[in-house]
Amino acid sequence: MSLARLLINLSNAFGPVGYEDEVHSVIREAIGPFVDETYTDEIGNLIAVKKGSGKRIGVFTHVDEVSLVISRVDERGFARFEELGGVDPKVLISQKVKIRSRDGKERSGVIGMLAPHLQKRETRGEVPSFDELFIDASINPDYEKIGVGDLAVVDILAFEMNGKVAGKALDDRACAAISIETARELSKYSTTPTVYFVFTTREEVGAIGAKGAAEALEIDLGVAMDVTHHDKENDVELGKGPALTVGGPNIHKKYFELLDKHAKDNEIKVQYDFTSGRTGTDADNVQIAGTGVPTLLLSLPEMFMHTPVEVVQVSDVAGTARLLAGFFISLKGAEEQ
Amino acid sequence: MKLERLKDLCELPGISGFEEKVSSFIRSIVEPRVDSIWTDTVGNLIAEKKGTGKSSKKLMLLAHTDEVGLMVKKINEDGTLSFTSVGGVDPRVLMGKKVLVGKDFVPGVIGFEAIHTQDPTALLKTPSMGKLRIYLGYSKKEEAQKNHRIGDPVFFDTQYEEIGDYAIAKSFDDRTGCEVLIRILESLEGYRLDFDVYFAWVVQEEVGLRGSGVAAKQIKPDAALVFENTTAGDNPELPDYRWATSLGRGPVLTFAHSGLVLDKRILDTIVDTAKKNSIEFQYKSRIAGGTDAARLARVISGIPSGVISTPSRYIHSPTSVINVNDFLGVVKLASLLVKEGKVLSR
Repeated sequence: MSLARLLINLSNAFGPVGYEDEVHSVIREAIGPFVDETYTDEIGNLIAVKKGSGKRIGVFTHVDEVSLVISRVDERGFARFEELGGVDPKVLISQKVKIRSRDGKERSGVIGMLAPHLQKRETRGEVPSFDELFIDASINPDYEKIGVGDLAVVDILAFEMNGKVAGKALDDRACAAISIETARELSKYSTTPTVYFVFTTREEVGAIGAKGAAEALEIDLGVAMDVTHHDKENDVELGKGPALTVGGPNIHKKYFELLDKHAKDNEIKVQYDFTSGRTGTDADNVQIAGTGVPTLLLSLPEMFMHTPVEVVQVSDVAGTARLLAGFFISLKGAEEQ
Repeated sequence: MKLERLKDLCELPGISGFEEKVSSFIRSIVEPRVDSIWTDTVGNLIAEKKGTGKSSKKLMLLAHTDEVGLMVKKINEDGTLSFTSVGGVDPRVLMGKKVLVGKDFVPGVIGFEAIHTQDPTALLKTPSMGKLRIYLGYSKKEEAQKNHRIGDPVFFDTQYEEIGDYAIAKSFDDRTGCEVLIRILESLEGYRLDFDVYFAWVVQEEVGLRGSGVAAKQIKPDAALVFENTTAGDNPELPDYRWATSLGRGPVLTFAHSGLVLDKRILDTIVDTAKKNSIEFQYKSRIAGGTDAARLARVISGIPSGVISTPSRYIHSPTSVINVNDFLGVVKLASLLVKEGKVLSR
């Protein structure tokens, strides 16, 4: 499978916060040949283990996506909803959605808005808020089966364009693709450190999954990966490789230097991101797990984050995997930090 | 799938001025069934089904082939495209969508700044169309210029979907009308009417009723029936007494709309026919929006017409919703009206 296709499949999978099963099956299939074991832990993280010797490394990428949760359904089948994770109401209007209900079935809906012909001039400048938006689920013959607490995500298929992929859930499944690619790279080596690829649950509501996994795995190094904003003004751009988060209290300084040196020595493109406090990613929880874990954060540049058309560059995904695999191999036999 | 061909029609790209794909698709289907067919100077597709000659009257049936969309206005230094609307498009339905650009249908996205970095006070303000951009994966103007130019059409990209009695698509307005005309023609198989029937799939309705008058002047009909897709409004924003129409209540009959009060005799004929055949129908209870009937009233010496529509929620957006039974009701009523020919006898 091409890397672009893997990104598309991961993005298309239905995986609202806490309900990531469908994403797990895509990942299991892709990473299976390159690891020794995969399992799901109690809280819902999928963990793929590449057994080796020496250091124990954890790689954390979250596979949930920003989602909607049904709060009420009226007698005609119009549903009200709230957001899980930060969602801009502007990008929801006129989207198709998929709703998964307690009976396990998926139903469709449309987030509608009054046609321009019937709007009042005064309200045209205003975007409906979550108090006003609705999902038209009346189109389902059995819409009464949709209930409070059912989860929904935007129904849009990812696609490739000019070396990029656009889709609804590349935050953070593009980084899950990096993990899968890293496992593939590592499979070329006869000896590697032990690497736990942790595909975490519920990041979008406070990085919940990473915490439990990092506690349980007793790792020597934690590497979190998440997306970051493509932002020319801050020198983070698509196509220029992963952004290594430099400085900041969340990042282990010596490991950072080793990673940065490895990138330079091997002429792998990187750029730098900066966080002065907590990073707002899984890295926050990994760092303080157990008796503390040396932690790094790699960020994949992304455009239009938390919209149904997030964009990442395929070469950035491939480059980051090369960097990580090489870095892990280089750590083998490296002195204890 | 109940309406396979409506799916094909709705998925075809055809904004105003770029209706060729829709017209040629229709032509390929209807050509064997008509006595003559031609595409005129502006792009209208007109087909003639001859009668016995007992009556010298001519009936025109009309639907428009175009849909609303966007057009490239400027190629920016960063390789993105600025655009403007073709027909009435609300900027609020555009963000976070996939679009197809140009004659080669290059896929792109209308993204929007991430919520994390937006000015929170502007979160619920409608951005102007001029502030939105299409991103196609180019990083420089020169790259974009290789494949695109100003004036390139931009199409919504929505897959048609049917769920139970409902369907979702981008361009029911007015591909439902286009399909109604095809189905009327099919229902006339083996029939010989006394009068001539002209089928006109006209262009550029959405930018000011541009095609219909040109078509009518070639036909010189005695009466016309316009098959449209019209706004519903039966969603939660409005109390029911302000709905224009409602899904599931049958074909929509119009007594007046923007720019025209419709011919009462034709309206009465339509109502009588519906009642006699127990076809449930509804009236459009708002006069917002217009149709090609307003143009027909202003060409030659004025052509009287009736308007019958399939109602649609979220019209002019990439995800409009219809009730399939409403559409089938329009087809039934329309076929009866044409076969009986009473709209011509006044």
